[in-house]
Amino acid sequence: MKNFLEINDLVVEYTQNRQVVHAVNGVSLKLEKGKTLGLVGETGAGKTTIAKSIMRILPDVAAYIRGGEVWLDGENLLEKSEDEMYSIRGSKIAMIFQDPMTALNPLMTVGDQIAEVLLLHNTKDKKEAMTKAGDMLEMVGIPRERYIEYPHQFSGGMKQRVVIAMALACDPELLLADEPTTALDVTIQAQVLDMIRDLRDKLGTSMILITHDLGVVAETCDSVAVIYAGQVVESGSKEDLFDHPTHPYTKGLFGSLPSMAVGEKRLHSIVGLPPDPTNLPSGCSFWPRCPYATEACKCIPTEEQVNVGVLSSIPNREITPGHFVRCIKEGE
Amino acid sequence: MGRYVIKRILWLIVILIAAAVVVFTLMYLVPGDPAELLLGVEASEEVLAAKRAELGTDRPYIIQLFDYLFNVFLRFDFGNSWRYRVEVMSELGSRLPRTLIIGGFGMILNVVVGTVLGIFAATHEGKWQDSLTMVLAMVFVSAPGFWVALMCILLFAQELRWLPPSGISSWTCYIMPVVCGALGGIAINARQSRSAMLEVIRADYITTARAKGQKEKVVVRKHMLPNAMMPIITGVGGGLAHIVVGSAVLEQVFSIPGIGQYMLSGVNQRDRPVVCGCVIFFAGFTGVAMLIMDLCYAFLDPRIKAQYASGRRMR
Repeated sequence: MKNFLEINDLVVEYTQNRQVVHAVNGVSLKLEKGKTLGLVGETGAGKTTIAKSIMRILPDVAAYIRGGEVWLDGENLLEKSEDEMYSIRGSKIAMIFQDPMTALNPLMTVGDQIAEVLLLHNTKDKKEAMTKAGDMLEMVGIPRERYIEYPHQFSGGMKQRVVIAMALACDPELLLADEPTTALDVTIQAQVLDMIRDLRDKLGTSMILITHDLGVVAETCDSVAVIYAGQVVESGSKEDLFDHPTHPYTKGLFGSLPSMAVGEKRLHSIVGLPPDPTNLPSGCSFWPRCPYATEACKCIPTEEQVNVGVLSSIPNREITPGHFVRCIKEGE
Repeated sequence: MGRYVIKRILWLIVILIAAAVVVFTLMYLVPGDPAELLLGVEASEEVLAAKRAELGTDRPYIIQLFDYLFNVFLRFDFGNSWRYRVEVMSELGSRLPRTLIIGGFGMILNVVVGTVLGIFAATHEGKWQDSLTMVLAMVFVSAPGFWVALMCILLFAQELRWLPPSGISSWTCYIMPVVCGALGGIAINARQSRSAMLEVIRADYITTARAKGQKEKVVVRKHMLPNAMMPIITGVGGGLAHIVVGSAVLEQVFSIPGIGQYMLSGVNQRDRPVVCGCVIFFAGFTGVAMLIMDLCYAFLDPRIKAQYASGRRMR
């Protein structure tokens, strides 16, 4: 199979105060082995939900995967039993979380937290797990003597290193990095990103990098998917997107980047706010903010489409090989 | 750590002395002549004067106070009961086991059942198991302990005749006091543990633990529970102090000759050495319970331990 990871029409809903939050509305993604896919989008666009759905670690009371398929290495993860998922999580797929400050258990030594994942998947021998956990600490640049220290004795950047060590401890085939640098200082961000990139190249891990930093995408990713209101609005190779941004939202994102050459006084922005996920606009969810919106963009999906969780009937067109855009103005 | 414990014990002594001064003064200010209360109004003035001299109540307040403090804190002598002439110390000693049996087993029930119910409710949040547990807990939080005790006596002793209603003649006598004494605490603890667990269930490190592929049961036991333990320990510490303080009502209802009942009878008969002795004992027991609780915090949470070790002032 060519695609190591393939997500088809994933639909995830949250229930909150008896309202349905449409977090992910029919997302399809593809990732080849050893490559890196960037998920770009605003806060609340559903990026983290997609990652958590792959691992099936969404909060079970509130969240509900309504439909779709997640194929990893020829197996549909959404059809796996919880017991089967236990052996996949942490060993085959691992995740780096957004906020290292809260991602570590404050009552366990960092070493034991790394050893825990090793004991689950790699070895039954406690000694061996501890040695390997020490090796992992050294790999991320933390002296092995700090094995017995607790998270509160570490700085934010160090904690993120521990989280990364934990994620990579069992040589996962797929690494989900959920905004791994957002909570860190700019100076530390570069170090952590370099480290993730080095380790990825060394271990040959496939990776999904969630971020809203286009600069990070440019440095790290092979392909990019732009997420807006729980949908992929544009996807393609990094070159496709950076050189020919096509969807009005993608254009807006790139337009928001300040240009050093021109020396602008004011930052450009996309007018308005992301839509309320409990009440998405019909048709293209971007039309209220889109400068090119026409009546046709507001088209209402058919009943049949609503029943399978598709809230937008805007087709996803391939404008050049591998470059998809979800906008009716394209391909006309 | 050792320095911290020593500091706390020194503080405890200060608190005990303060408690002794306050309760002694209050008992001194209670109207009525102790000698007259003991001998009755018909007693002649000579007899009364002799009694006052015997009790030492003819001396000025300040002398009596220092005499009492000296005896209690330097000679560990709580004096004799005015009415029964028995040493307060030995009476406390013989009554303490009964109170501790009821309180101790009640405490164990409280911790085990209360915490398990709380975890059970929290892990079934929003489902019927959760609602049922919380409604029951609400009922027993609201119901006064003596009323629950009386209802239990009516049901199990009067109607069903399963258990003796009072006394300490056999071990079955302890069942009802232990359970009735624990019910309120269990209810409070269940609610406390539930909310503590719910706070932890949403924590990011729980997601991290799940993402490692850890089994849900282990996640609850190894990651959630230790982190939810702080508020639970606070509740249990309060419950520990309640063992002796709450014993008064329970022992009265079930006619158990324990420390609580001893203090109540002392209050009714203006028996100053008894009341003072009981109150100082209660204060000491509570102080030690709180100290154990704080040490548990440090044992569980490395962040608190670090604070103790660095000698930073903790309240």
